[in-house]
Amino acid sequence: MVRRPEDTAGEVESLAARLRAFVLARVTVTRGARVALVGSDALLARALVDSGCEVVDGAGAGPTHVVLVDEPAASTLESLLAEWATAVPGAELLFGFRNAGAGASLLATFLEGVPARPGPAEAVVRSRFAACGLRVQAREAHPAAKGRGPLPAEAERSLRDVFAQLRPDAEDDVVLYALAREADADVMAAMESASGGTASTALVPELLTVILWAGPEHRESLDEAVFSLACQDYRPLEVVVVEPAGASPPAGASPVEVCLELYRRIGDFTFQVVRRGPGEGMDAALRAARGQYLAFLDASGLVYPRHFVNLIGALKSGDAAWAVSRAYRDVLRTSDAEAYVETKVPFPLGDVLELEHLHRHPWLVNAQVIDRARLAGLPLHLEDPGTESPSALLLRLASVFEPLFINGLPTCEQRGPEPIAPGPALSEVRVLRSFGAWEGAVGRARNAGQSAKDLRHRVLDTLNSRLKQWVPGLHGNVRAWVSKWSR
Amino acid sequence: MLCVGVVLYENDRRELQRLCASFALNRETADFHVVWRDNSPTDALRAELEHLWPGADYRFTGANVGFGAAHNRGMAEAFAAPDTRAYVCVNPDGVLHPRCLTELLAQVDAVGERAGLVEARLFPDEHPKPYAPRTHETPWCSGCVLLVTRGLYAAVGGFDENFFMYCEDVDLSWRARAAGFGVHVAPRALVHHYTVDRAITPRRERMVRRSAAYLGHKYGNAAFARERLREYQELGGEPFALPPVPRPSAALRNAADFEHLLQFAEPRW
Repeated sequence: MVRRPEDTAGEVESLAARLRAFVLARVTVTRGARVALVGSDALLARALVDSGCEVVDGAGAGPTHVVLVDEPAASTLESLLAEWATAVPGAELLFGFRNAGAGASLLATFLEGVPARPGPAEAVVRSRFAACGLRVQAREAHPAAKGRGPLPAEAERSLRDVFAQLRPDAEDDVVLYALAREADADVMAAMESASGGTASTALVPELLTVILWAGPEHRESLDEAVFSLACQDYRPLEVVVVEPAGASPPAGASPVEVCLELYRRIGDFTFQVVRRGPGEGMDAALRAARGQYLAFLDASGLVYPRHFVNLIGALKSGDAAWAVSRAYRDVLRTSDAEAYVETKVPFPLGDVLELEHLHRHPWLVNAQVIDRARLAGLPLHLEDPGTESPSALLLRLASVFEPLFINGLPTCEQRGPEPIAPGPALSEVRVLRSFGAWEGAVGRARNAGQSAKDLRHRVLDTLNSRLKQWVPGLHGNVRAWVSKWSR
Repeated sequence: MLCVGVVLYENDRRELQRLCASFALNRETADFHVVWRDNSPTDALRAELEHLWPGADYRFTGANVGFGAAHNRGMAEAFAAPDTRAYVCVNPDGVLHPRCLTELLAQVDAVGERAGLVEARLFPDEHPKPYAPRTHETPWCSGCVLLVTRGLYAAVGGFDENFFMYCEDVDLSWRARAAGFGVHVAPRALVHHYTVDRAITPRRERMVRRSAAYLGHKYGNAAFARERLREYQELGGEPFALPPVPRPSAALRNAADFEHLLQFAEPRW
């Protein structure tokens, strides 16, 4: 089925309608809203007036809201936003666009030859806001309808799900934003320095960035996590600490910064602390991370000295994009507010890393290293702990990039409980592998089942022999009883 | 006053740099003096240490006298000074947590008069031997960062110099317990020290079994000694005569644990 021009026109009209609804929802909560429309939308103007808002003309009229009515082109969006944010610093900027990186749109281009969307891709847009001194006040996203393309429904679903696993925003077909200027931000200057583009986002070769989550639940263990990072062998090292923003910023150096400075005196590394509101920290840290190699560490975790050396060495010896090591989970007993390690349990077990391990042990996000130079520009996304299970990232990566498993002794340690947030159901995950790889996985599962069966038989045989040897009378009775009941 | 003894043997610059940096951090909360005893073939480390730890109290022993003998010299000198409260053996490949020495002393205070040995907890991969979660008592202390109290030294002396390397810490721990002294871990005193992935060398394996054979012999467990000697010989060890030892007292025999082979205590994992 070939996409018709009126289908595209329908998309544009749908965007306009959604933008109108979004704008009305935002402005009507503001008493005395004064709305400037950049572009022409008679329907929106009338709806605003009907809802008691004032439609004003230009920045000079002191609008509380500025609406970019027309879908912005990728090349002009930033300058438009910067221009209005500078002209009316107190106004909320509202706009919407059809995501050029949406899975449905990409499929339409690939399969039907539909021209690529002229608007921006969500991935690029989102990454530019912070760099330009703009803060997201609200975001609304709408998926594309399914089943409108030429593929069978299941095939389309599979491909779109793979896209969504790689980029969660691939299902966001229409995206609407309300932005505000950060206090004291010089948006124009920020844009000019950010527009150098590649220099600020280029990966530093060989540099390992460890993103360390220092949530309030891990305050006690942060010291030891940083101690282990400072003493581990891989260099050069950058530590990006994510500290959820509290009610008020700390006066002077925070305890986190004091801790990092202290351990810098033992092991050389650079660090930065990222403080953001709920749900924004990890993504902000990912944007700040400069290293070619990327790892995560929960402050409840520890790394052994050669943990990163081994993982990065393994990556360098092949072409995998990421590598995972085995870990220990501590079974802790708390006595007089002191944690006592009763035992350590290695995980995952087995010689091969299965997808099921990544689902069952989301903590393994702390036991891996990613070579970002091998991700083909694929941006990473990780929610703050407690919001989404880290297994979502692991499974997204594994869906396309088969991980390298360091099948040896554990080289890192989990000292806290498994995260509570549920991960995506494994049955819903789409994975790209060769048929041979799947055959291997099925073969291993069969062998494991057969081994378990063989083991049961061996145990029973041994028990039978021992009983016969030690207590022949009892053995005879048991045998007679089993014979009777099995007839 | 706390005296810290470090016994060196051809250590590399990075190791010493990190150790000195950790000593500097410990200086902010604890008062101590470091003595560096060098068992290396030459005194090349003298200049290196002077650079890393200005004014370093460096002693060149002139021969590899072994871990125990070198520390014994340190303890004899340290406890000759009346204000020395305790002596701490520190392995040069360890990195002390900034509060390690303070926490060792805190544990001594918590135990009281009968405190004998207190060890820092190995980090990041803790030693699997057990300790009581409340009292921190442990069957034996590792010599990586090991505090010896004046009281213990006066009662039982230092290390048995018949152990060149390995097992001297186990022996000192059992002697301390047999003499009624406490043997404890200070869980908050951390030392970064990791040897699990070190290459297993035939020399090391021979040394461990040679020392273990002597330990079994000393504590009256002939079967254990015999088995370790057999292993030593299978590893190519040169024959040697076990030194004569007095019959171990009941207290010494009770303190010893050979049930768990070279772990000397039931491991937690």
